[in-house]
Amino acid sequence: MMQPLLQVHGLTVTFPTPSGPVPVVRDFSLTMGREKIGVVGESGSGKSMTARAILGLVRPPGQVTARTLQLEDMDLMGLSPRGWQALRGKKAGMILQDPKFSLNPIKRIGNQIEETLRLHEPIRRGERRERALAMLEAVGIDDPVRVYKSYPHELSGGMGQRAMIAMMLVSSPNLLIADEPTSALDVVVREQVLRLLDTLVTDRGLGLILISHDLPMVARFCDRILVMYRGRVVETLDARYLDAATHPYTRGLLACLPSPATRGHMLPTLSRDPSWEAA
Amino acid sequence: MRGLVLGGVMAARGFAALLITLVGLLLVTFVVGRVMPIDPVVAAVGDKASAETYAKAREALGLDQPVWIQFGRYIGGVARGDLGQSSLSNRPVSEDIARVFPATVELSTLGILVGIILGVPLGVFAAHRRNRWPDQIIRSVSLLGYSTPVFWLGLIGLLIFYAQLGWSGGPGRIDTAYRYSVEEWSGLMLVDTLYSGDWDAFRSALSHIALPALLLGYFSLAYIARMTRGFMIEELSKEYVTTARLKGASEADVLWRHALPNVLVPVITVIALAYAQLLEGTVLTETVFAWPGLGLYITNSLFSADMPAVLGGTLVVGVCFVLLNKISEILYPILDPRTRSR
Repeated sequence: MMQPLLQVHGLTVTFPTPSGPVPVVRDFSLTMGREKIGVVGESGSGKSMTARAILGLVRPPGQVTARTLQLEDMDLMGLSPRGWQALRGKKAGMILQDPKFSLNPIKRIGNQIEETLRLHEPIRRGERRERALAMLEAVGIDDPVRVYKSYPHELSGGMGQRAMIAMMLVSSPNLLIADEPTSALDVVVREQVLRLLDTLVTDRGLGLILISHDLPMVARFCDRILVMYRGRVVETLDARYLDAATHPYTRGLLACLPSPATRGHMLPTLSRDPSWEAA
Repeated sequence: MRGLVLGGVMAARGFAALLITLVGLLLVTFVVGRVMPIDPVVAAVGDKASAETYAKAREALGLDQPVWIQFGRYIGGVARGDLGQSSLSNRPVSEDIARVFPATVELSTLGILVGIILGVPLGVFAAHRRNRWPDQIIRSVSLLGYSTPVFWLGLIGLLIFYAQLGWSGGPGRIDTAYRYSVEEWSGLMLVDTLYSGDWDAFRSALSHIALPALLLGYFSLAYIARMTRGFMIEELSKEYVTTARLKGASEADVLWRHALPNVLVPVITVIALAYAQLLEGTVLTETVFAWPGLGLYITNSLFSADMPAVLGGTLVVGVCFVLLNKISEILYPILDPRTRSR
C-alpha cells in the first residue's frame, strides 16, 4: 500500500489560561493521500489552529500533543526548529486568509516569491527570477513582469492571493493547506481563485486541506469533509453525499442555508446541544 | 534612486515650511527674552553705570525701538548670519557658537551611535524573547537608564573610571598638554587630532570623550531599545510574519529581514528625536564633565542675561530639530514603499 501523505492521530492543542489549560483542538485525526480534504466549522471551532499545529506554527504558550503526526515518511513530533524550516515551504505550504496582511508590505512580490526558492534551493539568481515569473504565470497572472516588480499595496486582493499561492507552490510542496483562502475576496474573484486552486492542486497532484466556514463551497471542491465543532471533529462526510450527514450539528448547519425550496420562509437558526461536544 | 529623487522634491517643498517654523521659533524665544524680568542693558553696562551711559547703551542695543522693529532687525541680522554680540564674551554670538557647537556635535554623535548600535539589537532581541528573562533584564537596564539622574551616574563614572582606575581621561575634551598643540580644523577633537596625525593626542581625546559618550549612549540606548521592543512586538504579531515562517524562514530571518525593516520608519523617528535631544546640549552631562558645549553655553548665557547668546543657541537647537525631522522624512519613502507619493 502506498504511504499516506499526511497522518495525524490524536492531535490536541491547549492554551493555558488563568483557570487552567483550555483545549482548542481535541483529538483531531486525519489520514490523507493526495486528495482534497475540506475542514468546515464556525469561528473558533479550531480549524485554523489544527492547520497551524500540523505545520508546527503554534507558538508558546500553546502546547501541541499528538500520538502520530507524520508527513510522508517524516515524523513531525519533536522536529527541531531547523527541521521545521526545511519542511515549511519545501514539503508543505499554507495559504493565509487575507493578502492585505499576509504579504510583507515593504518587499516586492518577486522578491517574496524568490525567498521561498532562496531558502530551499541552491540555484542562481537568474534562474530564481525565471522560476518566480513562470510561477506568476502559472497562477494566472497576465503581466507577470509588472506584478513581479510590484509591492503588495499596488495589487488587488485577487492578485495578492494569487501571488500568495505562487509563494507557497514555487518550491513544489506535496501538501497545501488553504486557510479560508477566499474569505477576504469579493464574490467574483472568490470563484476565480477557487478554480485556480482546484486546477493547480489537481494538475500537480497535491494533497489539499481547504479550511472554510462555507459548507456548500467546500463540498463542491473537496472529496471528503471534516466537520469541526468546539475543537473536535464531529463528523466525516463524503462530499458527494452531504445529505447523508447524520450529526445534528451538520444537519443544523445545512438547514440554515437558503435554497429555492425554503423561499419565503424564515431560515432556522442553530440550537446547540451540550451533548454534541461529547460525540 | 527613485526614492532619493522623490525625497529631494519633498525636501524642497518642505523648505518653506522649515523657514516658517524657524521664524516662529525665533519669535517665541524673542518674546520670552523681552518679557523676562532681566534688563539686558544692566547686563551689558553693569548696575553702577550712570543714567547717561545706560541710555546710550540702551540705544546702542536698539532697545529704545518698538519690540516688533527689534524683532525685524534681529531676523534681518540672522538672515545675514549675524546673531548679535554676546554681552558676556563680547564677541559675535556666531563665533561663540562655532566654538562650542562642534564639542556638542562630537559628543552627541558618539552618544547616539552607541545608542543605535546597542539599542536597536537589544530592542529586537527583547521583543523576540518577550517576557522571558533576557527581556526582563533588557527592560530593567533600560528603565534604569531612563530613571537614573545623569549627574549622579556621571559622577560615579568619574569616581570609578577616572579617580580609581585611571581608564578615563577625566573632565574636559583633551589633556591640557595637547590643548594648544592640536590645530583646529573641524572643531571635532577626534577628527582634528587624526587629521594632524597626532596619535597621542587622539588617544587622549578618545579617553576624554569615551565616558560621557557612553553615558549619553546609555540614555539614548534606554529610549531606543524600549521603543524598538514595542514596535517589534506589534510587528511580530502580524500575519506576514507567519507567511515568512511558512516559507521556511528562520527566526533570525523573521526578525532581521522581515519585521525590523518594517519598523524602521518609527525607529528612525525615535532615533532622530533622541539625537536632537542630545544635540540640544545635555547641560548636566556637560557640567559634570566640564565639556565646553552648547548646553553649557546656553545655560551660562541665561544666568548672565546674555539674550543674544541665548537666542542664538536656541536657534541652533531649533535648526537641529527641524533638520533632523526633515532628514527622517526624506528617509521614510526610501524605507517604506507605501509612503512614496506617485
